[in-house]
Amino acid sequence: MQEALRKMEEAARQRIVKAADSAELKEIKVQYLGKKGEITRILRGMGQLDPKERPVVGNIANQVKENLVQALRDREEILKDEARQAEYTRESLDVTLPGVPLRQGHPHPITLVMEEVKGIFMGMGFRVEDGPELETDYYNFAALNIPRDHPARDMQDSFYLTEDLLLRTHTSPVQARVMEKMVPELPIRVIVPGKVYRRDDDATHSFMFHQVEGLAVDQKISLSDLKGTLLSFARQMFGPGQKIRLRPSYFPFTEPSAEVDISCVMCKGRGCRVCGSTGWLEILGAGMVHPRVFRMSGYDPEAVTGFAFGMGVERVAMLKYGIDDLRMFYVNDLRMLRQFR
Amino acid sequence: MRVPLNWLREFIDAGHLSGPEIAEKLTRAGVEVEGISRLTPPLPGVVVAEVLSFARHPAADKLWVVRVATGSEEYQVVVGIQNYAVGDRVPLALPGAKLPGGEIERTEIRGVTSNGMLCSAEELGLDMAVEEDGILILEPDAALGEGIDQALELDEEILELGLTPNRADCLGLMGVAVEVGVLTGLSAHPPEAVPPQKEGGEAGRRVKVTIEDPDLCSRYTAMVVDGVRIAFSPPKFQIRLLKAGIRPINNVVDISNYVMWETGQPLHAFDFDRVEGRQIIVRRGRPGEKIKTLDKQVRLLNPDMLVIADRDNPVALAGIMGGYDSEITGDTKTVLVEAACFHPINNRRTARSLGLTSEASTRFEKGVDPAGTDFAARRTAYLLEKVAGGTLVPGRVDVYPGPMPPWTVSVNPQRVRDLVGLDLSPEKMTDIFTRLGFTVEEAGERLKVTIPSRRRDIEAEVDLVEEVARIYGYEHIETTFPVGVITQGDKPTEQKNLDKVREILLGAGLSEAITFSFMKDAAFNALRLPAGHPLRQAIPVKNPLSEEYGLLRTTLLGNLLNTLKYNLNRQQEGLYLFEVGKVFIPKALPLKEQPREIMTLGITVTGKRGDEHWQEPPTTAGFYWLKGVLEGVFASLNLKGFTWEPARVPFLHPTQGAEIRRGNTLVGVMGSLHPGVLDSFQIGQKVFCAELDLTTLIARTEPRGFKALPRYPAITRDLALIVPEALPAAAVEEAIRKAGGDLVENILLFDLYTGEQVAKGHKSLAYTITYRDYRETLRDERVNRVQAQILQSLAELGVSLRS
Repeated sequence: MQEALRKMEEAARQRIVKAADSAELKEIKVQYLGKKGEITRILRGMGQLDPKERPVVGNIANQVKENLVQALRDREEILKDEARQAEYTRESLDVTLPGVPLRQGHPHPITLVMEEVKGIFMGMGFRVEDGPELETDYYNFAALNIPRDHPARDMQDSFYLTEDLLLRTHTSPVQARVMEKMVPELPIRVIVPGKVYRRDDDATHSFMFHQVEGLAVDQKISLSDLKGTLLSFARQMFGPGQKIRLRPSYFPFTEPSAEVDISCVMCKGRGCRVCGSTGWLEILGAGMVHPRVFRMSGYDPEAVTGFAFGMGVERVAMLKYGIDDLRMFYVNDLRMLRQFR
Repeated sequence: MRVPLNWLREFIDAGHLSGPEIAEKLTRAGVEVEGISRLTPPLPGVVVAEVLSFARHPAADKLWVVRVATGSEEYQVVVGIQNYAVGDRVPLALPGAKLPGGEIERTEIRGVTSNGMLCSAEELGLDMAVEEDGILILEPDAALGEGIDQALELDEEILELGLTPNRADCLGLMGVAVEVGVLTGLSAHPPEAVPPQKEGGEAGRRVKVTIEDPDLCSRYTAMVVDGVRIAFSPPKFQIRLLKAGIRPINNVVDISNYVMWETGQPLHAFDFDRVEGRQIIVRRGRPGEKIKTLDKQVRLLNPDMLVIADRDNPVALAGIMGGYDSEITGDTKTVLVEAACFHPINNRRTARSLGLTSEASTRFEKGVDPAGTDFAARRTAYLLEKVAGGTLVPGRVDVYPGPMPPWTVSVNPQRVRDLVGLDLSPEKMTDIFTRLGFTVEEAGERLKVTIPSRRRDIEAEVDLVEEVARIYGYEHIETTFPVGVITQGDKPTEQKNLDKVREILLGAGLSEAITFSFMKDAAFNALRLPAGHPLRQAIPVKNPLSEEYGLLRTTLLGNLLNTLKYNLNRQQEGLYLFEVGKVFIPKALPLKEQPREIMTLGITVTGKRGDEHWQEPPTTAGFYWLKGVLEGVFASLNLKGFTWEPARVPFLHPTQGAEIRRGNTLVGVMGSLHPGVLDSFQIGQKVFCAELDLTTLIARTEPRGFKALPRYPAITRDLALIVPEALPAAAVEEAIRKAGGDLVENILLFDLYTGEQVAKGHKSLAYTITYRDYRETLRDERVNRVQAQILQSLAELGVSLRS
């Protein structure tokens, strides 16, 4: 009997291993383990055995039963696995096919740069301010120590709407507006981004462009503070290795005044075509707020000092992105805009 | 200001310093050298030669065969003109020489070999005053065989100064020399001049000078030079003027310009025999009076203009341009030299009003040193004697009604420390002031500094602070950070909200354009705006760049449509653009006060949104897509309560336009662009657009609250409705909401159908309605009751359930 069980087990195993699908496995299960299955049939003959042998055979029979259940389960797993493998093959993707495009729009590079500039100065405690684009002669010129008939007016040819109203030629009028609003409070730390207009149109000048004005006023602000602030700006904007250079210059509303150069972003100061072999690039004008401007705005120039600067956003954008034609900014060619995120 | 280096070196012994070295020093001190150039490109192969002999060409009567020598070699050249004599020195271009007109080759002309070419000034690229068509005759001492670049100093470096308006003192070479002296420790010295003349003298007997308006003319110095012989100036003299950027005329005019370049003092030379009554009267123009200026234009004068007049008539526009009738001609024998000082503002106004700016007027308007007139006149007289063969009539007439007193400015050394961050001792500062030619006295803590008249830009303490800083060197300024009270970086609410708007639009696939704040009148017609339409109330620019930019924009759409068109012309077909910028709306026209500047959002979209894709093709622009974007914008600002009403807007499709309102306020318009507008802009595809006044939308930050998540489940029901065609969907939704009350959590339209399945004049709208009670679990019976109420109130609108 024991032998019969063993033989049967072996035969069943053979069939299980070869079973092609779960239907066949079910069939095998019924055939061997079912109520009318072979094991049951064999065990029916137990009565004829010596009572002493019965437990032994019973044990073996249970063992065989367990073995077959396990074998069936194993085979089931294998079959499932094989079926999955086939499915995987069917489902295989060409991972090199292009993904679905995000189809997002593109920001204008001027906006990108303006936002970056704002962010940098906000991080240094500057508040962003705004002012009208259509200004009075007073705020655009007189309040900035540029009276009528001053030769400095030639530096900024203006678009006039009336005798007294013009499109602002710089963001500096907001200096005067902010100080008038704040006086006598201290400290002031503001930047003013915005559009400005000059009656000038050639390859290197656009009649509309963007500036960011900066103004810091306190009891003891000096030109060295301006230098530090702008150095920090240049390093955040153009990279940690940036150097900065101040050259004396002249603006009616600051004194002392300076042109500010940064080391050339193209050649890192070694000298190239972009910087005219000097290694330096002029990016903004700056200086210490002129005592007359303080007086007109209500501050006492003996008691407070301050620095102001104004930078051309297009210039910064051109350097940052390597754009060599100023006019590109206002054509809004999609092929250009697409290059910005 | 152009500074020829060798000329500059006549005033300062800076021969050991190269052009770039001087340029660097000047630039670092705020006198910016924008570039170093030369007058002409190099002329290799052109040398000084002497004419040995000349004879007619044996086979051509208009040609000459000339033998010339360069000292070591002899050459034969064929020349088309004969204006030289044996022994003259001339420029010879040898074969291989490169001239502006091309390269010279050895040629044979009618059987005679020509080993090069004799050159005219024009052929060398020099715009000199010479006889027409002549070979340039060089000075007799020109070294034979020497290159023409060296012989005429064409290789001289020219510093191009970009002077700021405050540095009038550097508008003359002597002033630049002083500045170089300050920066190098070298001392500058003036050029030669006739000795100082005593007041009056013979000159005083010959001419009478009267200043009628001393407020407009602070000084007038006159000298008389007799017996001049008018001729062209010597080549080198002319070339110096060319380097300065001044066109040579004749020796007398050239000398006055030459001395202006040296001293910064504009000079004028009158033909004294044509000054009637031997009188110079400095006065205002009279109403109706006229003058013919050197450029042969007749100018109408008025009392705001200062003139130089003789007994009878104006003979010059003071400080701007001389008169035609007293100009130097070939017959001039006696020259009256004027060195005067006119009022900057008056001079500037007159020059502007006549559209006449000159080297003289730009100097006067920036301020000329009244102390310098006498030297300039003496220098002019010296050159008239030396170069033009004249003889000075002894004496001078110098009218100086109110000599400028010396002025002093005091500075507290502490101020330099506070303002610049440079820690300099008073001694060091005194040294700097002394080098600048200022005199310094100590006055307690302060330094009292006396300023020479050539530096009239130094008016206040801060000017002295700047002088110290710039001479000591900005490079020594430390790099520090402002200290003190903490300030908080921040952005105005409007800008923060604009950032959100931009973010939504970019995310939706719209790209940002920035267009000019101008527009042209014709754009109003293109946008079909009828006469009197508010958007036509645009502010005209008084001095526009062109008609294209004649008005300040009142709408962004014109510029955006032009941008669309530009890109369509460049094979870009899916165009999704927005602009955020100001439009300018006047309170009244003509403009009296600053207009309203309205922050506006403009959108134009057309074609497919984004790139094609093999699996998910892009959507195409449409009304409801654009409406969804605007809804997204409003949602990002956390704003509610917008209504969309069909509206006739001139530039929108008559049945596809909407006005967007929030409460009673019109926020903007949107829709499909009117086909007529598309025609005007020559756009051949459908465009959808929107324009929104952002003012009220971005003014505040709407607080955003959190609503607790629901604890009880919702029940959703789909409702297919048959709706009369003319009934807007908003009315259906409103009815549902009203009848459903608080229980209706959400209404979602998921289908719209018109066609055969639906009765004529009707449409089918299918909604999913979500019902939820936040306090308890909803039962079907309750939802059924509410839905019955909804259907009942819809029935009143003629809406029925679709079977």
